[in-house]
Amino acid sequence: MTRQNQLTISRRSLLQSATAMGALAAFAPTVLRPGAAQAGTNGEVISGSHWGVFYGQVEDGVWTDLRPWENDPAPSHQLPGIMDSVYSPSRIKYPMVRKAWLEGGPGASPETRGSDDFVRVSWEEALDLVAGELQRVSETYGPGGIFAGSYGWKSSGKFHNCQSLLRRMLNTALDGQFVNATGDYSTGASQVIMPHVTGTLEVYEQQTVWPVLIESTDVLVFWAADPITTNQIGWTVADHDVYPYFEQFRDTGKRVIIIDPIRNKTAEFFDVEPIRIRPQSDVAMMLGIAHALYSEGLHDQAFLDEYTTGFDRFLPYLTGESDGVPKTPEWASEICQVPAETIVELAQLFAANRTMLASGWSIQRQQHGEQSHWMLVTLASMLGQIGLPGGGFGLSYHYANGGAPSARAMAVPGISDGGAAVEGAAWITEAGAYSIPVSRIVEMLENPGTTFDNNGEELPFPDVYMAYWAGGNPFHHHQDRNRMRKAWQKLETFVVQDFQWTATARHADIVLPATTSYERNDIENVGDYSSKALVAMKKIVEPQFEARSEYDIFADIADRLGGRDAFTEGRDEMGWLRHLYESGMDQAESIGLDVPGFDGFWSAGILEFEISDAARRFVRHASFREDPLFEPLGTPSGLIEIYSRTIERMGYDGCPPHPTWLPPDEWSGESAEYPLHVNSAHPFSRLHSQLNGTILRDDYAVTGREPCLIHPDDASARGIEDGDVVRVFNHRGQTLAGAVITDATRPGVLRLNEGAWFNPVDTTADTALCAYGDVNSLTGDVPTSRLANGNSGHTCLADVEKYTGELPPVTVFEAPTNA
Amino acid sequence: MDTDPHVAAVPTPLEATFVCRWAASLLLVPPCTDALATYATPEGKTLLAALRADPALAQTGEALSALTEAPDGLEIAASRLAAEHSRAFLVGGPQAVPPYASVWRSEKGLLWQEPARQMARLLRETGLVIDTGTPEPPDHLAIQLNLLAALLEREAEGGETPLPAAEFAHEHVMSWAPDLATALRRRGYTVFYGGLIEGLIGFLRHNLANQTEHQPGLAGREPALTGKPATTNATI
Repeated sequence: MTRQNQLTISRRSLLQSATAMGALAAFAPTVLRPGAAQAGTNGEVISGSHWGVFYGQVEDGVWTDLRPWENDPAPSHQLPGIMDSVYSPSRIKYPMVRKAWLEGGPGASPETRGSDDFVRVSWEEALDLVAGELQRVSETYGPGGIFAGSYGWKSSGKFHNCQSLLRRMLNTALDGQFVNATGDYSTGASQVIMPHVTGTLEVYEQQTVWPVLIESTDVLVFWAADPITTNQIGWTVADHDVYPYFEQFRDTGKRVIIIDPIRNKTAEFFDVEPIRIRPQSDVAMMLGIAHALYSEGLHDQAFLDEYTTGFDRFLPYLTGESDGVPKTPEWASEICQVPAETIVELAQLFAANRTMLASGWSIQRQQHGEQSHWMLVTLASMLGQIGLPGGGFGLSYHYANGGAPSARAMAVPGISDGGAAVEGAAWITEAGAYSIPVSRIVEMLENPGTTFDNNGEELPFPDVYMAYWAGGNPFHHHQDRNRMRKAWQKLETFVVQDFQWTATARHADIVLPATTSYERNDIENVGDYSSKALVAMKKIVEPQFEARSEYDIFADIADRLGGRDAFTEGRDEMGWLRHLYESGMDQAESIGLDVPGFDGFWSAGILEFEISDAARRFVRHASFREDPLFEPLGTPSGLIEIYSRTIERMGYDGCPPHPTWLPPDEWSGESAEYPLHVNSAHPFSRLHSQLNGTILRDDYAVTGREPCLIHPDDASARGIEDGDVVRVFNHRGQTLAGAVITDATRPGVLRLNEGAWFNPVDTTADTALCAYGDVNSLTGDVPTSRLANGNSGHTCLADVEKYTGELPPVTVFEAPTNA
Repeated sequence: MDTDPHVAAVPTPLEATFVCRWAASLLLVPPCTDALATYATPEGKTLLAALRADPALAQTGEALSALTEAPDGLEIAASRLAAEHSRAFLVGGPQAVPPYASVWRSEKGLLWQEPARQMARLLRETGLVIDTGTPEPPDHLAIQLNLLAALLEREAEGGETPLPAAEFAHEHVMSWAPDLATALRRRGYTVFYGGLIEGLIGFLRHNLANQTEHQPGLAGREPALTGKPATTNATI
């Protein structure tokens, strides 16, 4: 179909019609024709999502209801929201092109992105435009011209993995001439520093499993972690297997300690009052505990001697011998504002009991975030319980049900992106001509052609002119929204492929409508860590409007670039699913696992795997502890590196060679102008920005806006009352929010969850006011350090006031009934 | 009024079936340059004249005339129409005014709710299907208008319908289209589409009012527009 849809009337057709149908009939064509409608499907369809396995109820081809899988032990209350996203009025219906871009060509009026009009085009024209731009930019600017490090929580599925498919298209049809991105926004600092410390990423690996914790752990510490909230979702399909273990642990009556500025859902679950640490001071508090351990002789010198290296280089810093500042509990208390006696008590408690230090990731999403988990591992090393049942540290108990025992499962591969695979997380590859740390994208756009330091290398910032995003929402997840909007203007062309008009889509030049994962077929694991099942993610409803699957879109673009065959390998959707499954059958056979053929699996809908007794006894680092010589860690020394000579050689000011307290440039109590810390933790009722535009919002929005938790002292000092609309602001930006006055948050700390949709009142303003509550309108965009270049979203100060101006309506979710 | 001697014979007054389908086609796809050019043909001028002569649709006729006679050319006019159409009906977000009954008449405000399913049933009972080139839910206002036109034709031919056309109009179209028109107006869609929907509603109200005089069960449900003398003969 061309841009002139078949309903438009040309003079020629008019004259033809006029003869046959009467003078004016061609002005009034009908879109209905006689015929019997195809019977809509009815019944239940099994599928999967980030929120778990479920059955979709279909009536006459319409998805009307859903119920969780019977073997999901704790279905998420978010699950019903996925239906809303499929039937959202904000679906992207047709291929669209920004009007100025269509009329003026690439680079036309980039300042109007976000406010410019869009024009509907046909798929043929849209695909021609995209392929033409890929070709033009590649030829004009070379291999660094196209950014395809598209990042975000794409939908579940091993085949319709839009990010892999995007890079596969560019690898197979454009010879890999694009800029990729490494790392992620979740664990940007840890996944780079941890290989220097323990030889692996740690953040995405199996933890000492929960049955062992229940049996052996005496003290369970959640440091900056809210697993009750965050385990609702999984990167693959959530299993929720850890929730019954949470209940069992609670039933034991064992000690749970929560260190967090805010009384989170996990604290509520365990009925524990958290230790209200000053935000960003975690390393100082850990040092205080470490000092107490050392000064009282409670540290495990034997463990340090046998399993670690560099404690002797760290010790002078801890005692103050090297810098004249002993890191005593009193010193730590001044910084973290936790009483010194509490710090000492924690040291004594940890040393006297089998203690698991379970940390979340927020403490590494701040300036110098590399230090947090390095110091946590150092603390765990001093306790000497790493590799013992129930002791040590864990960096993934809050993520995707880490610690749920792993099944002996069939490993079905995902479709390859055509680049070299890298061990670790599924989304980390080495495809592309260049690569940047994912959260440095704005810095890249601002500094083309310059170099930057990264984990011991000096890398170039390529000169990018086109970006292609599929399955992500950088206008949600990236920090410092206003700086980002300005930097984005460098791009001549920005292509976005999604199913919904996100803020990112609204800032695009070419927008392609993709199907949701419920409008196509796929396969996925159930349980990121347990892999307890393999689910057939069956199509529940037909694609809405003109939405097409990512695979079909990229195959057609590859075709225009001469690479269809290499991209598709001659397979269609079901051909690929069969191929991937049968690849898994080979692996299953190699481990003696009897699995049905593809047809049998697809018919059954789900294939469950057994969890062995041995898996229920898994202890992380047990083999290393048992035999450090034959089971060494992947560090240069084979040991836990408390001092890293590798990092020492890099010479980065922001990342010394041993864990170090480095105050961030921006933190609470240090600014008179913006005295409040902004905590941007994960929300309880959505997945980042996903499902914000659904009925779930009714349960948490305050006066239609994102809730902002404010301590009563901070509220009364500013004349703010519960339910007021407030303006949260700093020198970077401003947003409205709905005030929730509560002592759940620490004095001096505001909480504005990440993931709220950006709703600029004036899209042309330098510091646009967000009408709904996008916290990244406020956060800063500085790297954690030049070691990891992770994002520092938790390094953020602001102030808040009651909003007294004329209230701009929240319009980003479409509320036509209030129009 | 247009006095062009080349204006073809006008089917005066405008038939409701024609108006429904004409408005529906504009709702589905904004007229491109070629389509706008057809309004300069004798047939097109005839249509514009008829629109201007209709009390409810006069403003729409004037707006369309202005667009087709725009000094800066049809291309600019088509571009303006396309932009307004996209902003209102295609691009989700702050300026969206979704043209689906489900969004306005269901608790959740989503697509494919009960109004859409009712429409699907009615289409099936009428023996009609939506062209595959129009991948829209059946409760899109344009589909509803097409069904209304089909029901009117069947009634005129003495054929059977699952429900009377006027009842369908009352229950399924007029139950939410005025809200759509209000939203369009409030959000500033003044180039064309705000006026089109308002004109359409006025046209239907007038014709429905005439019709309901003969259908006691429907009389009084939807008041006729006041202050607008009827100059057309209703065909429904």
